[in-house]
Amino acid sequence: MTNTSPVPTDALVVGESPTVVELTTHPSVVALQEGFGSAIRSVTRDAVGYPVVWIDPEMIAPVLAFLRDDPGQDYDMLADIMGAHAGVGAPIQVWYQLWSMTHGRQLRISCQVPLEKLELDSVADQWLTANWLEREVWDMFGVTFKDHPDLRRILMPENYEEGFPLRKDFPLRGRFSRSEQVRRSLSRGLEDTYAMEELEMAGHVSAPSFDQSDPSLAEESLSIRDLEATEDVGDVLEGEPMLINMGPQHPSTHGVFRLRVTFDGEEILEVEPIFGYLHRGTEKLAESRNYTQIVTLTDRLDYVSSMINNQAYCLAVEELLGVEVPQRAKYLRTLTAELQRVASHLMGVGFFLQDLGTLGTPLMYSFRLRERILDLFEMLCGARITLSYSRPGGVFFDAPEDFWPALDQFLKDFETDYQEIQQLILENEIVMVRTRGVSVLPLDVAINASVSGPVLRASGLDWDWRKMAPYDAYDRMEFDVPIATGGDNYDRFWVRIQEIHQSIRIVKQCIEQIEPGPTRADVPLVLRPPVGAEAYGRVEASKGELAFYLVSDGGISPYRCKVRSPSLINLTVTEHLLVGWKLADMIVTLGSLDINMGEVDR
Amino acid sequence: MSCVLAPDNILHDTQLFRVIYEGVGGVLPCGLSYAVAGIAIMMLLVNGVLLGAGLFSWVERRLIGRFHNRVGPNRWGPFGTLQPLADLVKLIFKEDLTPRGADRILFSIVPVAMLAPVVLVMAVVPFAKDTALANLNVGVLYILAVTSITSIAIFMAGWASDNRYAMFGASRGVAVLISYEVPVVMSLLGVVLVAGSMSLDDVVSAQTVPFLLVQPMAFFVFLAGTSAELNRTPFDLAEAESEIIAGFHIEYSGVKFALIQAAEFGAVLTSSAVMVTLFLSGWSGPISNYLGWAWFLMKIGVLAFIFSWVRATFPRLRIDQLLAFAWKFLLPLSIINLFATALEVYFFRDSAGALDTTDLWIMAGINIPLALGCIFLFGILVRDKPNVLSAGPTKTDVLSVSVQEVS
Repeated sequence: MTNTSPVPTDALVVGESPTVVELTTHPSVVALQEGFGSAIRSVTRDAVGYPVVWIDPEMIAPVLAFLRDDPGQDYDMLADIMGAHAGVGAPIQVWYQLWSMTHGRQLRISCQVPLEKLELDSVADQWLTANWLEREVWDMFGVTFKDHPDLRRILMPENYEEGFPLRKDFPLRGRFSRSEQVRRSLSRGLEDTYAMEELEMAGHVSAPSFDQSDPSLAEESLSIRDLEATEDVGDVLEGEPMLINMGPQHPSTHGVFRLRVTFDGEEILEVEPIFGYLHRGTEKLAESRNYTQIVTLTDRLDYVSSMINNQAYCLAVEELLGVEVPQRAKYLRTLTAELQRVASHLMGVGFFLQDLGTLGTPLMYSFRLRERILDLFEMLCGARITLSYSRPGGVFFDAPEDFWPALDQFLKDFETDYQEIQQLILENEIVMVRTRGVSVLPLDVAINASVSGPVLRASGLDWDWRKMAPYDAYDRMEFDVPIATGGDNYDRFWVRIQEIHQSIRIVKQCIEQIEPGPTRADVPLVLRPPVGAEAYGRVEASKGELAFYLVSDGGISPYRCKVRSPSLINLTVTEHLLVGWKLADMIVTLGSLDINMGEVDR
Repeated sequence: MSCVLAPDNILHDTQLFRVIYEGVGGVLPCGLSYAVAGIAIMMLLVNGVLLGAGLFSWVERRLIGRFHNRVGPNRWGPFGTLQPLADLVKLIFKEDLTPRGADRILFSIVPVAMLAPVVLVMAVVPFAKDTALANLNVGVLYILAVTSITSIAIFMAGWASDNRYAMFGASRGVAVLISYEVPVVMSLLGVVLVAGSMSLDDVVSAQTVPFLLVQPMAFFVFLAGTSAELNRTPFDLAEAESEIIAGFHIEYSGVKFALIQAAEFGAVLTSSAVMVTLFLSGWSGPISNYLGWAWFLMKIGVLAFIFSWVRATFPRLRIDQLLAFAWKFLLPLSIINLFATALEVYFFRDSAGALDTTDLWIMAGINIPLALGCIFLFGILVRDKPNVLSAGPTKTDVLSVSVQEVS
């Protein structure tokens, strides 16, 4: 694996006019047509000209294996798997978004799975990412993946029996009226509604090892009396693994997130992340709202970096429509996105140190600066968290006049305040011993699991969509991408600290370069992109690569709006990072991944 | 009818007790007035410690508020001084929950078992001239014995709660307490050697030069060991909030929780009091011995401030690093200190076995550079191998090079 920057070498760059690229020049498409000519049903283009290769669903596994292993292709990163349902009775569509690190190419493979035979071959053994993403497709659309190691519900509850929510035949408001839902849940037994494990946690069923009253289980119980009574005390005293559910209510799981951990003493033997507690059906909701209304849904994904979510979504819609955004709006978006990145990273760093056990001092220092940024956002759009500032075609409003002096003042104060934070934490001896060399993420695993953002950059890869495919005004900005090569907790933390400096650099350049002008393109209130248009709007969000995949059916709302959430995909490596480390490291590693449950569960 | 305390009575030196006893003895029979005076002075002690704990909880919250760039509690009473009272009222009216699987008796004993050693330690600490409740001739040993009760209380809490986080906290707490007991005892031996007595009164009167200067290494070890035994950051593993939520007292609520909190805040004060007595020349001050209690409280305040400051600044260590710190760093230091002190005492003492002020100054002159050198040296030795402390299953060839070089 080379560490060189994977800047696209062919002409397939976002923003290029689609007519420049002839489809047949894409080397992978050519190779696929030669090798798997009979399996290819058609080759189409998305809204900006990326090729989409439609494959026979039976051939998915061989084609993907070829693309991954052939040295001429070498697609080592599976960025996303997306499903869609075009309408009642229509086949399920599944897309695979691939990226080749060595060649700097991307390719989208898709297939239509007929409803009669909802089956695909699993690629979970080839890419770590595929495991959870295939589970999600199964959860939402009911596509079975053959040979998948662990095909269960992922976002919906494990015993959810109402069907597959993102299918078009699944009613938007649920199957029953609210009163009927209440009636059913009251009349059902607890065992029907909750998993055994949940009941155990809630205390409705006693865990076998602690149940003293049940004579059949008494032998297994762990009490002093039993230890004395047991003849072979030595065996018993060796101890047994202890299962702990960290979460969903836990101060350090960054939201409602559960880790099912098996400990041997303090050491972690097994760990399984369980999530979905915050699942609000954003993607289903998006299918019934028009393109402008969806902006407010994106705020609630990663609720500490709403600005970037808005931006990513609006870029996708603009790609669908082919709208050119005015310059001033581009600069405003860039500026606010970078301020938001600073705010998000400050929170990430603050909570990382909180997880390390500081009594809130670095967190409070971080929040002091973040407050100032939220005040600036309040001046821009009246909100502090759920901003909805970017709109398709530009931004909501131009910045008010007193915004600019306030921003200047903030940048002045930032220097001293941020210096204080760095002095407090960056060289701290205890931070060093706790984080250096802990939970190392090797680069090959990182790429195979397609983690992105600071987590990937801390493992040594120069990977930043702001550089690789500049959107908005980033092509006119000068900034560096901080890279660390250790891949440990300290490096992930350090990369964030350094990125804040670069973001402030970009903000300053925006202030210098911005010129008066309109802030919103002339777009209609109700948008109707062309039929069948699809777009993959991608930005470098504070947590990693955030993308909105939109498919239009010509109506006022998309028929599929898929969020490629960096937090979810960065969590893929949890088990790899944690096994063998201690309880205390687990919390810190989770903090260094900087996940946001709003985005994981959607 | 008047009662007079016999000179061989253990409480004879305690002025306060004698005044109460002889005053009440004018009215009541001697046996009864002995009990009345005992109870009165006990109430004074217990309530004094609890009041101090409450006050300190306010002081620390205000201090940490300032460290955080916050204001801290300032609503109730002048500058928020009545905040502890408000907390107490709130906690008393909270529901007192006991988990279903808990061992009810053990579970209920724990808050008292936590608070008792804190109060008991104060019994031998002289907070002014002739004011120690009992001038034990084994005062230092008594303090060590009594503070060890805390580890039993912590383990009782963990076991009785029937909670796995509590069990984690309890086993961590016991591991920490047992490990840190060793260097703490070793460091106190140096003090006892110089003072020539285990009685705290004698230790104070031996400090014509504060033992902070004569025994700097012992002070350092004792400070680190004490903050570990107090479960305060960076050693607060037993109740690590971000990891095991509240550790051993996760299941406690209401009055029991209030008592545990009072014990923790009170323990800071009593530990500071012990340190003041052993290292900062106790109640004696440069101006007047009649203001002994004022000097004493002032010195406690300084130490308590240091504890709060450290708590607000440092991240937490991991359990293996914490134990390595005790066994690899503090223990060698305390052994070196003990050796050096023993040699010095052997050579400097006069025929009666006592040390005069000049001897103490010479010892300070030797020990301060020795302490700085040893701490520095061991610091480098331990620091040289950070990867030993944090070695783990690295499955990669990507080297952990210094990140500063990379950018």
